[in-house]
Amino acid sequence: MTKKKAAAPKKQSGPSSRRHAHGQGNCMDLLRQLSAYIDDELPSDICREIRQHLGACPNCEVFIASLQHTVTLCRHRPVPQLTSVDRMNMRRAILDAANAQ
Amino acid sequence: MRRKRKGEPEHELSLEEFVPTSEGEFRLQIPMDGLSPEEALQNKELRQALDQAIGKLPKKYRMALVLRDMEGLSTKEVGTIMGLNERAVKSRLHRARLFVRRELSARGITHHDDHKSEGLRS
Repeated sequence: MTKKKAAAPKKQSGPSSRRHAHGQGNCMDLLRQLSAYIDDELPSDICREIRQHLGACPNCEVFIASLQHTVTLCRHRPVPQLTSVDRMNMRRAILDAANAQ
Repeated sequence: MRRKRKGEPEHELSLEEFVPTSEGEFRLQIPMDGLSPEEALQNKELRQALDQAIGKLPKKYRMALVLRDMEGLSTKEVGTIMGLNERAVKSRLHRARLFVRRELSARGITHHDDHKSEGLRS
């Protein structure tokens, strides 16, 4: 990953056989789109470009896998129960908001 | 850690700060191979690390992560609750995830045998 911003993301992605040293491709552009990629919110052509980039950049591939693991863990971590005080405060806030409308 | 004063603006998370600077920062040093998320989360150290990472998030990012990824609300629903458009929700969620990922990658988590003893790992 690099702080240097690639000017044109679509021109940077090479075929998967052309591996580049991490930071020479559009790693920063990829970083911006990783959540959308994980959530399957990107158009298919962008997804294809990302997959091509991942094939050429092992560090990005490891990075996206680690982010995917992080999201998976968050999704499976049970949400802590509210304390009775927090529950009462939340109920009051909801009622206040409803009354204000 | 310094306590935030009331009214003090929350720390903004920029994407640049999540760019790994060394080889070891790309991967998570946590035992997940061959384990389901539920099995991995039986590791107390991992649960604590995850909870601490989420707890360290500035509130506006933590809300987006908890509501979207943990409570399972849609982006639109999170936006309604937080008073944000969907684009802003996605931006905060993305930064929150990157923050948690970085926190987890910064600490190695040892492989506990607690899940093995319960016959969860074959």
